[in-house]
Amino acid sequence: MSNKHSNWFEFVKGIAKENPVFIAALGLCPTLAVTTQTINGLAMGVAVIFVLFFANMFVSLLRKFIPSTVRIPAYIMIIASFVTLVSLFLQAFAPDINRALGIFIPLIVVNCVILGRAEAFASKNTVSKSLVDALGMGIGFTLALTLIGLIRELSGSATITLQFAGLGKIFNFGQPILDDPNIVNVTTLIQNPAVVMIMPPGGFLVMGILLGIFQNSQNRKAEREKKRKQELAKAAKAKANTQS
Amino acid sequence: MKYYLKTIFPLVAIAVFFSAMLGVSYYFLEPIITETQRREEQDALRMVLKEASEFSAVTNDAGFYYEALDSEGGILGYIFREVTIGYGGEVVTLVGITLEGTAEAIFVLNADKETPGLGYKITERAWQNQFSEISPDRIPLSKAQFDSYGFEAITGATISSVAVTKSIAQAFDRFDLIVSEDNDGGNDE
Repeated sequence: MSNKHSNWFEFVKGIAKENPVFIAALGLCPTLAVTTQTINGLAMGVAVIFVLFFANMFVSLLRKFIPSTVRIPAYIMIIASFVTLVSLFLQAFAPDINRALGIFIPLIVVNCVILGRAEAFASKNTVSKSLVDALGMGIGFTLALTLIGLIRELSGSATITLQFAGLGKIFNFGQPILDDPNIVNVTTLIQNPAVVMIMPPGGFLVMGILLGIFQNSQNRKAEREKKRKQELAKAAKAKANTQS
Repeated sequence: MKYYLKTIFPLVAIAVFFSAMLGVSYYFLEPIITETQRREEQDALRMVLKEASEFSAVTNDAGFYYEALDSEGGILGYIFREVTIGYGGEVVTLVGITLEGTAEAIFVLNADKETPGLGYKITERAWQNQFSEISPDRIPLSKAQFDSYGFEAITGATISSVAVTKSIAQAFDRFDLIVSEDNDGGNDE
């Protein structure tokens, strides 16, 4: 199909230029709800990468087989199957994470990042392009969630939780907590963490600030581009004048 | 008619294929899920009564509880799974009570509905340890009682803290029920 863009372009665009959370503002409900801990954001992101990868793969494979009148129910069926699979895997191997993510795992079915990529990309592109797109978008989503989780957890409870299925540690930057083998006391950086940051208002605050920063850098880039074009035009004009 | 068949066929085909895929996955994952749940339960039970080597679930007039057995099958104590309402929803606590009537330890099994960083601190072992060896007539059930009985409620999360102590009280009530029943029935086990 369209071979305008390289695979690398399709991969990178999901991470920065078309980041699903910061630029496209898709999938904000789970983004705000699960990012109370770093690991939750990371786990949610990994679950989304898995579902997105296989959903894009099958939607792209079946794009000629699915009649366009019933494409949405067909996509939902494909997505729901892989979400159920993720949920079963989490129940079997990471019950802690499963409890923490709770209702947001089944809700991946209606996550607009996944349905959006199926509809906007995978249904129109080749399988390999769709897979690259899924990985890029998934990693972009994961990075965004992990970043928000990190900021919220560090400011809200002065810890960074990187513990998955009993592996890894919880890094503590607040008042030392003794006699818990899972906790590594790094330094006492934050004496009184602002609990509001891990509650819903904190989610909106962090989200808003990050959206602002990303939008600002995008605007600046656009402005620089505009200026460069203007200068080029001016130079061309000047050149034409001296020549005449 | 042909149009409708043409539209429906792909949907049916997709549904059948993915259902089969899920069925096969569940067939292989189901034993692992059951094993994980059993292990989690056993680990939690061992937290509250360390000496026990085996646990058996019992349901009778006193409700559902676990009997903690030693290696020869004698009863060491009882473990109660109490559900109380905290700040955001259900708080599930395991309370282990030895035959002598002292609470050996408690363990908060599920407090996911409590505010993270605040009420959720009831899941910290360090906080729970203050309730080991608690006697049934000195269970703090309000902020004032926490202070006067010399216990520490979690700052800013009295409701969550009381949810835990309430379940200790409930466990003792049920323990009394079991003990009195055993005495009435002449220990016919």
